[in-house]
Amino acid sequence: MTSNPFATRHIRPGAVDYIFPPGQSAAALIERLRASGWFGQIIGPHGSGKSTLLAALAPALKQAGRTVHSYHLGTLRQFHPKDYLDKLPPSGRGLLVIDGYEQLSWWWRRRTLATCRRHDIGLLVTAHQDMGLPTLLTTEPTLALAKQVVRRLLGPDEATIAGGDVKRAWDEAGGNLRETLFKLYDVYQARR
Amino acid sequence: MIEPLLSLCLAGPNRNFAAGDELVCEYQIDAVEPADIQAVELSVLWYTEGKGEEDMGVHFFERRLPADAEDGDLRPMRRLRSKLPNSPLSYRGAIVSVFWCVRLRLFLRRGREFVVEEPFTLGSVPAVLPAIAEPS
Amino acid sequence: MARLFRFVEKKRGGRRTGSNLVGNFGEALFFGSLFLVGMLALSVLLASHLLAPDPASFTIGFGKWLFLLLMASFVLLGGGGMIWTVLRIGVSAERRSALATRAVDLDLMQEAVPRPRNYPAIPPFDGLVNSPGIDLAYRLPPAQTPGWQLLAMTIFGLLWTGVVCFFTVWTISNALAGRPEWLLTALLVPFWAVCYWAIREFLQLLVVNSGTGSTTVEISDLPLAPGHEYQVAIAQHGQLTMKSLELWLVCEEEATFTQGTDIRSEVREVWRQLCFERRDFRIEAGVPFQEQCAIAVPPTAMHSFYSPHNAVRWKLVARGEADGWPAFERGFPLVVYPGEATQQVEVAGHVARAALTPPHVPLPAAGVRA
Repeated sequence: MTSNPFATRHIRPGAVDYIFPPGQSAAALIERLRASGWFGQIIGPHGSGKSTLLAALAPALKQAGRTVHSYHLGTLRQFHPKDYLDKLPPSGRGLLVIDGYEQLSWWWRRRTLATCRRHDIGLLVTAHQDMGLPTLLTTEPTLALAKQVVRRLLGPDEATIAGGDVKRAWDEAGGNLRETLFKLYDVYQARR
Repeated sequence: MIEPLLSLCLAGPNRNFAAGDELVCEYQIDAVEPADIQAVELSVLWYTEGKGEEDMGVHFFERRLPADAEDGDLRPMRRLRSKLPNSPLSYRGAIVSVFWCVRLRLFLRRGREFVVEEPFTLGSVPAVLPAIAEPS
Repeated sequence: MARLFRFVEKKRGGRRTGSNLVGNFGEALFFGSLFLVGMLALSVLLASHLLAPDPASFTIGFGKWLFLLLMASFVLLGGGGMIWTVLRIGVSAERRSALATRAVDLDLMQEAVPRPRNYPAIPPFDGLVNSPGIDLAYRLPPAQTPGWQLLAMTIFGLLWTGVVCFFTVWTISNALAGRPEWLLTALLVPFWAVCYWAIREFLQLLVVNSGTGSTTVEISDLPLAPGHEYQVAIAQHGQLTMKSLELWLVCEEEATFTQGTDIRSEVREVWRQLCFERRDFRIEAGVPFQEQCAIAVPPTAMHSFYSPHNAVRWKLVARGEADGWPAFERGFPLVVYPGEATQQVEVAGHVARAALTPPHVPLPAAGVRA
């Protein structure tokens, strides 16, 4: 049984390479982060690739000599900000990465920011709206990007999904890249 | 740096098994010094694939350390047997699929890991054919 | 009179007196009035003490506390009674009686012996077999308890009405004392609008849930094995002119994916078969419609499967359309074990031919999921 290229194991952050907009790269974003004192945010709507971009930046951050402490705020019931605030090293070349920063209350966001400054640790977050940190990148998926992602997932010889299928799925998903890929899962499953 | 060579194979010509069958597999490790091997794990497991988070169930698991092997060498061929369970059967559904495999994981020093898998089918549930309204 | 207002149920052999709908409506009205009287009186008492504490008021011995306790009990009885009425919708007195009788006939030794668990990743069916049936071995629990929506609306309505009553009395008391609070008065208008909506929604849901009556399904054995036949008994209660009543055997998959703040859950029906259908008939109050039929899971079907984020589920779905009521659909979960055919390496040709997947035709949308 062959795998559906649009299954979650193939499209989750880290499984698929992030496609940078023209003129952007992981190295360029790391430089921008460095220039802003290692404080920054990645903002964009649901399913636009923020978590995928974070995964793509991980190797470059390690190369830049930062020790990354990464937290994914999926459901706050499983996780409390005190969990990471207590574990932060007292000082050094650390970087706290929080995926889903807007889920924290205003109080915990202020406290996180203050703790990072006090410990001389950077802070890189993802959010759906501006959180007051320097913006590294605003993820804005386009149909062209969706087609690129689909080509990468399918591989060069795969002709099961055509450009028209991607456009149709994109329109039905209202421009949400993740939902577009979920719709293409069904199309691929029915045709193979 | 030369990568280790992991050989994993299922005994017999088929990759299709019935519930309760005995699965026999062999593995061998080459192109690596015995002192570099920290541990070897072999598992027989099922996992889901589809539109949901991946779930996994381990039916058989064996972890060996150098101390468990003759002369501390985990590389020589090893044969394992496992009686397959009644469920879950292999399944290719509309949004949920269940796959079975044997997975060999090699742990080397300095945190390096290598994995190979050998898929197989348990049972014979026919695939579900989802209906998609094709555009006219 | 007894037929119009049912405060105490009575049995006449296998029948019950009174209309289910009118009975539930009457009870809701009674308990609702009790709650409202208690709430208003408590609000007046609290408002008078908080706004203009007058030592001269309610000084007849322990009268003040007695009044407080009495009104508090009205609120508790009224609110509790409303919730109790809502929860009782769908449970018949005959069922309770039959269970008590049948309990002595259960094979206690069989029930005491634990079932071997050698089918990993298949959901347990203990919750499905702890309810004996009247005609067949087991009565299946509904997939979702009828009236959760009604219960939620009841609780919301009670709380909201209570708060609105208090602030209304507060506003009136202030106005009478010459200290009108115009802002609060203006704010109360939308609050009362919400209160009106909540009461209207509650009454609508009450009528729908009471009027259509409960559906019960019993089965001859559990768990099911593909390729085997089982007897199913369906009973539809209520006083209805039915356009149609159908019983379907359905298989569906569910997949849940979590990423960031997104929790995406999708359910996809992959197979279904019509087991029973009856059109254009009437159900009288106290005389439920009852029918038995046979069902069979295809020999090559996938068994029930459960993991933290993925599932393959089987269920019986009863779907009905009645004159003057929205269509209803009620699910009853089943557990299907792996079949003899699919546990083998290959399915025999004749088995495969007999179990071809029927073409998938979506069920027409039902108006109410009860």
